This record gives sequence, structure tokens and C-alpha cells, in this order.
Amino acid sequence: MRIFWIACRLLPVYVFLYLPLAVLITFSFNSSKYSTAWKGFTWKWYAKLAANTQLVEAALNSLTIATLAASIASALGVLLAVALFRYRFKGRDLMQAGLFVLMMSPDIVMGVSLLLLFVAMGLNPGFWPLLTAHVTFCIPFVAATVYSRLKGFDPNLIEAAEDLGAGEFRTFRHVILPIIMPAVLAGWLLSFTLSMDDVIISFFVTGPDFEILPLRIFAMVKMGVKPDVNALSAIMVGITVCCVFVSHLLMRKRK
Amino acid sequence: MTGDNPIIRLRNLAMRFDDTDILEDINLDIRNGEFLTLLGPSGCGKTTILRLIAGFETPTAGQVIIDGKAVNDLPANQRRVNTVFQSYALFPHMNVYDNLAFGLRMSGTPKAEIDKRVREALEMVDLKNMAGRMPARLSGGQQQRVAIARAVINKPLALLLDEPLSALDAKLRKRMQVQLKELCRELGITFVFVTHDQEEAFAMSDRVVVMNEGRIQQTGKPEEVYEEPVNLYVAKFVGETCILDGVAGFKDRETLHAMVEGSPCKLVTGRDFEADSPIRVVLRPEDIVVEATPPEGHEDQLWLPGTVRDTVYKGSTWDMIVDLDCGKEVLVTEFFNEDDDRIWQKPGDKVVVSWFKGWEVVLPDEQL
Repeated sequence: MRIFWIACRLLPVYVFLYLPLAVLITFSFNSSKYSTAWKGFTWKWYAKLAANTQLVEAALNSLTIATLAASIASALGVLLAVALFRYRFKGRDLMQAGLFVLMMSPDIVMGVSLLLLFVAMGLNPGFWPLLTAHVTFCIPFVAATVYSRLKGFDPNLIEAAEDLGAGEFRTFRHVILPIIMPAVLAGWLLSFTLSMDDVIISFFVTGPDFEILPLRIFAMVKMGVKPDVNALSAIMVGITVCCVFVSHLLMRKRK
Repeated sequence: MTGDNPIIRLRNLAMRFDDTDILEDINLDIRNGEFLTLLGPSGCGKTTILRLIAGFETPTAGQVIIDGKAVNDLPANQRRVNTVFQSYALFPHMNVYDNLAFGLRMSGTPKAEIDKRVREALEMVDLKNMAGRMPARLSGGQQQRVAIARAVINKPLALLLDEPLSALDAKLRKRMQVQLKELCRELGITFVFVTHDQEEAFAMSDRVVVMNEGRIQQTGKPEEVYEEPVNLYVAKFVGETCILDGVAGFKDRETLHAMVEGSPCKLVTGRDFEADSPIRVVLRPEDIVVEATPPEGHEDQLWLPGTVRDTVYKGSTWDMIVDLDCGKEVLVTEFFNEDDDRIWQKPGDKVVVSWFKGWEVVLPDEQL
């Protein structure tokens, strides 16, 4: 009885959160071409998806960009966070405030300004501008995550390392990095996600010779949602679930 | 054990931060092998001195000299001193063994040697079985011992301890005080200890440095600081005091003829006072004598009348608070004496109060 009441209270929450995903996954197995009515179970959209080389290529491009952007942004973001945390220098407060400006500023503004910048530099839209743009908007998120982790730690730890004879580099390598590692991983995952599903900024900075998944999908749904898009989305949901599961396991082991 | 050659010298050290003087004109020689305590209220600059020695701060002026070499420009990781932090600052991602080995690894000590010294250090602080534990799984006292072991394992010229006992409960604290003192003697390493607790400072130190508002007030053995405070600040900070007001008269060798609380009286002091200058007479609870009436043969002493307000039985001593008619309050400590059962006072009793002749400290009046 108790369980029943708990379920009654929780069910609306879960429905609200996950119904859209459930509908999407369900319809990815619907044999009707027009997604709204159920006409029986099928795998054919997944087969069709596999045959759609354009879409697969776009997906691979997206994965490449997301992995690279997340890694580069993590490295730079860590350096930035550690610098902000450790050193008192002129312009430090400005830099910190600037991070928030970057995080809060609308994507459309970022997109336009990056486009302007790349045009002014004479760069053609494509892989490099796209990668640079993604690194740019990911750095603040990594820096903020890592910085807050650093803030929660005893500053004496760093002094203790120095006191025991460690120089700058070894203090970073043996003390700071292990401590901030969970935050770095979190920042990496966050960056990966942000990069994976960014549409607006990417729209301005990538070209026809380097197409990425969100833009491809966006182009496809202009002519109505096709079931193979559903199938692709369902796969992405599956991958996300796996990622969350793995990161959960990792965090658990750390404890 | 305690050599006279200074291992650390501070020369005219000053520290300013945001237009505030944290330290001014600090001159101090720390002798090799001694247990020296920097004692003062919070914000007096004692921790800053420690951080200047360790190399975490750079002085605005003056010099830090370690082992005969000026080290102002030497970063912390190249100074041969080690710190025990108030928060212990154990590396949370390393077990006890790795925490201890950290300093030795940084100095490139061979593996076998590291292993031997870590085992020895663990033995020394009685944590043999804890080598594999993570710091978070240790009690406060154990963490503290790890922090001490991690510092002394590097055989520093001096060990700097920043209020390391403040997080421990009273009983453990007392035990650690004894252990630290023993450790200092066994290792022959100089200990520079920072605390705001006067009892702790006295219990452990060879010498105490009393500080206030960024300046050294007095340096000396605990008994010197307690019995011969150089100014009213030290007198008040160190132990209980009763301070009587007076005016200096003429001086005859060691005897100062003065008016104290409105009555003429003879004081014993080595200091010189200008005639008619205001003075203060500092008395400790154990200096004070309480009688019903001035006893025979002691009538020439100053006997201040008063009323017993309260008595406190403390086991080894009998404390009494007396309200003097002049408005002052005196805390009296009487030690029990088997042969002499003279503790008879009750609250409300009229008494006269004086002190053992020559035990008083006479200081010029300063506005504090």
C-alpha cells in the first residue's frame, strides 16, 4: 500500500521527465512512415540509418569534434582554473568575471561574433573554425567546475607539497591534479555534451564540407520528422545512458 | 642539547599587507635544538612569522637567515624547514605511507632508503599498522601524528608547528604536549611552535616569545616571562594578575618608596622610576597573603582591607576572590599545607591582603 502511494507521487515526475524520450524510442520501432500512428514493430529504420552514409559521416564528425573540443577545453580550462586559484595577478577578477560573461552570453551572439572573427582572419568555415569555436565555449564550463572543486580544498595542501620540496610542476602533478581529477572528468563530459548538441554556434562557423550531426538532423527535420531520425535519436539516448552509468561507476570506485 | 648557535635568525623583519603592519621590527635568534614558542592572541602576527620562515610569504623588509644563509629569495621547496599545519594538510588522495614518503620522493631518495625511513617514522609516531590507511579514515589525533611524521622524516633543520594541537580534545592535547617535547629532545631538531594558549606554551617551551600587534613584547624562559614580565601587556596576557595603582616616590637602592592605592608602602624593584610618575604593581594569585588582621612583625607592609567574595576548592589549591575596599578585585591561590591549617576564610569575612615581600613586579603605568 505504501509503495502504491509512493508510486503515485513519483509517477507524474517520471512521466514528465521521461515520456518524451519513451515516445521517441517507441516510434523508432514503428513501421509507419508517418510517425504519429502505430503500425507494428520494425527494425527497418535502423537498417536505413546504417545505409545513410551522409548521416553516419556527420555523426562521426560530431564525435570527432566533441572528443577533441572536450579534451582541448579540459586542458586549457584546468590551467585557467589553477591559475585563477593559485596566483594573485592583475586582471584576475576581470578574468573570472569574463568567464561568466562567456557562459551567460547567448549562443547566437557567440556564433555571430566568431563568424566575424574567422572571416576577418580569412579562415574558411569548416573543421578548424568549428573546433576552435567549440573549445572557446567549453573552456568556461571546465574552468568553473574545476575552480569550485579547488575552492573546496584546503589551500594548505599546496603549501604542504611545496614545503616538502615539490616545485611548481610536481605540486601540480602529484597534488593538484589528483585532487581535481573528478572535476576534470565532469568538465570533460559536460564539454562533450555541449559540443555534441550545439546547433547555433556551429551553424555559423562550419561549412558544407564538414557537416555535423545536429546540423544534419536540423536540415532533415525541415521536411518533417522521418523515422530514421527517431532511430538515430534513440541510439544517442542509449549512448547517453551508458555514459551516465559508466561515470557513476567510476565515481563510486573513487570513493 | 640546546646549543647557543642560532639556526634561524630574523633580522628587522617587517611585513605590510594592504597598508596594515602585520609585523614590525622583528629580531629573533632561534637556537639550534631549542623548543621555542611564539605566543600571542590571534592576529598578533605569530603565524606570519612561521610562514616567513617556511617561505610561504616574502617579508616587506628585513631578512630571514637559516643556517647562516639569507633565504629571502629561496622558495619554500628549497628551504630545509618543514611545517606541521593547523589543518594537518594531509594529502587526501594518498595513504599514510605515501604521505610520509612524499618529501623523500621529492628529494630523490633511493627507494630502499625511503622504505626504511617511512617504517621508522611510523614506528616513532606509533602508527605501524596504519601505513595503508587513507587520511580520511584516521582519527584527529592519528592525523596529527601523521602530519608530524611527514614533516620530521625529512630531517629538517627546524620544524615549524602552527597551532597543531588546537583541534584536539583537552586530554589528547596534554598527552601530545608531552610527546612533542620529548620528540624535540630525541631528534635534536629545533621546534618553532605557534600557539595562543599560555599554558601550552609554558608546558612545552625552552623559551617563549610573547607577541602583540605585530611586535615581540618579551622573549625568555617561561619562568622569566611569568615572574618578570617586562610590561603590563605581558603581565596580563600570561596568567592571572592583580594590578594595583600607585605613584613612585624616591628610590633607595632596591627599595622604592611609593604610594600604592593611597597608602605609603615600600616596594622591591630593580627598575628606576621618576619621582611622582604613575606605577603599577603586578601581583600573581600565589604571591598574595590573606590575614584577619596584620600579623605581628609585618605591620610595616601594606595591608589592604577587603571582603572575601567567594572561595573555590580546586583539589590541590584553594582559590579565593577578595573585593578590596579600594575597588580592586584579587584572586588568591593558597596551596594546602599539611602542618598549617590556616585556610579559614568564608564569603563575607573581613580580611587584610598583602603579598610576600619582594614577589611583586613594579612596572611603569602604560595605557593599555
